[in-house]
Amino acid sequence: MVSLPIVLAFGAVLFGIGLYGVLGQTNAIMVIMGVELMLGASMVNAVGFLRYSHPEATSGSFFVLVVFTLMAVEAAVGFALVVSVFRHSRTAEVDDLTELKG
Amino acid sequence: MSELATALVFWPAAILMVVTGLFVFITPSMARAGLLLLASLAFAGLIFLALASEFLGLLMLLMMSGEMVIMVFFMIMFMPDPGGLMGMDMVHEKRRSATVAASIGVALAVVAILTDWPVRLAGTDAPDVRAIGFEVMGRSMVTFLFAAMTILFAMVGGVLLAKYGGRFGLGAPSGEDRGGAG
Amino acid sequence: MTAALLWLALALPAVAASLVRFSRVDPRTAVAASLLAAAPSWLLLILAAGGTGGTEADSSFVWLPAAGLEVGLQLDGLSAAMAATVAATGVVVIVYAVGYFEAGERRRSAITGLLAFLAAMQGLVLADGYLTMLIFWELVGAASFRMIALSRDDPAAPPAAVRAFLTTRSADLGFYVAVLALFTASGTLDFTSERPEGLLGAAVAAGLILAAVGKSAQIPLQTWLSAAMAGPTPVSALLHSATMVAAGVYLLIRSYDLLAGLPLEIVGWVGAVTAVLAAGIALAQKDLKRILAGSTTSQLGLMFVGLAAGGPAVALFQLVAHAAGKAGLFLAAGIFQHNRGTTSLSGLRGAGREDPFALAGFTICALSIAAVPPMAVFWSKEHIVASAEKASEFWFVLVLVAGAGAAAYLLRPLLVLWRGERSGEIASSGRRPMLAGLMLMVTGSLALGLVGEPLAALIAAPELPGSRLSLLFSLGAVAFGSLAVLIHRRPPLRVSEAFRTQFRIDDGIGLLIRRPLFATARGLDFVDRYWIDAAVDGIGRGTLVAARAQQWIDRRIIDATVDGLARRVGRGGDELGRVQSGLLYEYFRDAVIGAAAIAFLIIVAALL
Repeated sequence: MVSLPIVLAFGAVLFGIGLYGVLGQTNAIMVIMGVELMLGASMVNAVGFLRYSHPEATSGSFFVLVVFTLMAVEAAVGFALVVSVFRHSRTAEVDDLTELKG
Repeated sequence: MSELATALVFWPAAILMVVTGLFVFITPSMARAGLLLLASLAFAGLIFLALASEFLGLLMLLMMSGEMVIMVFFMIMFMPDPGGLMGMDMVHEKRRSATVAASIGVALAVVAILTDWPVRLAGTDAPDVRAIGFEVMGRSMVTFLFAAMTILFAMVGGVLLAKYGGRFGLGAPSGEDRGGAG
Repeated sequence: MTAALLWLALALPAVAASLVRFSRVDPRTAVAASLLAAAPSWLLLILAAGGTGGTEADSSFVWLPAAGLEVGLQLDGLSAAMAATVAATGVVVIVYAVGYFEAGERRRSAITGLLAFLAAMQGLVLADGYLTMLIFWELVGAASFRMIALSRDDPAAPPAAVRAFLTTRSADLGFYVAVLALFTASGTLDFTSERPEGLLGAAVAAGLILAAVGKSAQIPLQTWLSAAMAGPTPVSALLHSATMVAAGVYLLIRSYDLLAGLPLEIVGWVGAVTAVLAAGIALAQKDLKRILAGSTTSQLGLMFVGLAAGGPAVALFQLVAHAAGKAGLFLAAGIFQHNRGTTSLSGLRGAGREDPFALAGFTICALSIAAVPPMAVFWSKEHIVASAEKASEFWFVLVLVAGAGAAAYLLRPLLVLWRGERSGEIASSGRRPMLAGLMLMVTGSLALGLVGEPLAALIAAPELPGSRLSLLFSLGAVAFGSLAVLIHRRPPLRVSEAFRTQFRIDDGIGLLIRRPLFATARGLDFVDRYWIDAAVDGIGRGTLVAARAQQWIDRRIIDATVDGLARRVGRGGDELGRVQSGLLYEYFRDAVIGAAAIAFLIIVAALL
């Protein structure tokens, strides 16, 4: 059956996949997708706690709502950044964006 | 929803979500990756439903269907090989990234399993939409307004960033394709 | 009131000098400035004369309270008479100088210098003690140096200035010795202090006499005065006839009580011998101004004798009377110089004929100096003759010989000026002020014979010693001297040469002073070069060696260490710089690893 540790472990696996995407993908869009996946994992965690730890708490649902917002905002700003960067340097490959190199 | 029903929905959804999430970063095609992410997050919505959060689950499904369509557009716009027909490797430092990601994931999972979580009596249903509504419009009003403002700022900031002549547009080389970013 | 006047007498000439220096000097300003500068001195004379003889007013400020040293001015009969004489001569000479110098930088410089000299000289005669007097004594010497060197175009002027300054300056050392000895012995530098006993007293007396001999150009330090004739004629008239050289006599008059006894006798001998020898020197010169310089030395010698034999009143009377006459002679000589462009006797032949005014002035002043009645010096020399007769037969004879010499050495240029034919025109530029100055001096030469008694009263001296007999002696000497010149115009060449070269005193001084000095200098040079320099060089070389060793250590050990460290640090920096790749995912990865590490630590801490 399903229990809190199972849900959390599942969230951890999802988080790892998302992290792999962020670290491993060469394209900025794909990096953003990795972040989305990580945020999704955190939402799964939150819902798991909501279901198995504090079913009556409305603030749990609200927390997930906030993470939703965060996801949307992250995606919007991230895409805007990608557009801007692409226009500047004609690429969205993170390997080419080394302006911060010391 | 009963235990059994929950398990019946949770397990397939969870497995499918992990698989689709994994394939997001394996497939060479951008469009496919976008659609796989959409599917993955849609399975998350299913999981929410299974875990008795109907409102959140439906909201998730709704949002993902919209957001991921937009994302696909972007992918097609900025990917060097949106269709994945050229067999480009879109991954760098594969092994190190995988190692880090795997160890972090395993560590978190181990922590999740080994921790002695305080478990309440199961069976009680999650709060209904009404209660969430009261939460949002009552106790958490300020936080919600803050989130709303964040979205607003994100919209304005995103537009400013992406707009031609914005943050990076001023010093752009001449002869630039003005319509490039749509 | 009196105190203010005293300081004004000093300050106004100085202020006037600075004003003149920075103004365009037209004649009227110069005359006004000189009158302004002289006015306080005359007021002082009136004040002093108004009080019953020996009025004194002091104005001092303490210089070193602990030592009791005071710098101040005082007014008494003597200082008032001197100040008035100096001021009067100064005004006349400045009026004259306006005509003598052409308008321009030279004139401005000259009048500035004359006014500055006036200030210094007034300070000297108004001083209330030896300290103040010494200060102004030096200033007078410095002013004299500046004035002699005024005609820089003349190659003889700068060396003459140096010689005058060095001679008087060396003699001034005597003044320093005297002041130090006096202060050591009695702790005060007042004029009224008594001569200390023993060696210190001898030092005081000897120092004062030496200073006076140097300043008044007495034998054997007389050569600087004839050399100083290289300066402009107005300068000679003021500095080297009437005032500066009189400072020596004034010093002795001031120290009359201090010098009582043997020192005064020495003064008398020096004066008597100088009077005769300087008369001879004057007789042997071929240059009008040099004749006058010799005459000045001779007359100052007479003052010395007068002081030694007859007291302050005699010397002071002679000083005042002589000032007018000798200054007048110089002024006349300056006019001739203006007409003929030279002062050598050969060049002045007949110069008197073409300029009767100047010749008249010259003659009257010459008669005064030669002590022909009824001129001023006739009345003053009478007293010298009388007192010398009373004091010592030798002095008496020497004074009479000097009197005859005076007649002779002044008759000679008179004849030269009168004989010969006129040649050339009278230079008209600046003639009026020059003649005015000469006329004033002629007036003084005519009138000052009357001031003998008042002067004696002013300085509260006993009756002047003159008598009919001494008048006759004096006249006889004059007649003899005149006859000698008229009959035997040329003295034997060898004697003349000896006198003209002033007995080769300079060579003697060279032998006595310069040679040992140079020998010592050479010896010191040797020591310097071969001992001290060698030591210094050795130290330098040693330092160099040490420095090289130090350099080696520095470079091979310290620098190497520091460089190595720096290189290693730099390499470490490069290594670390690779971390900052600019690649976002690497940063993110590191952040994740870091976060995991922190979480691990927290967990470990929680579990423990």
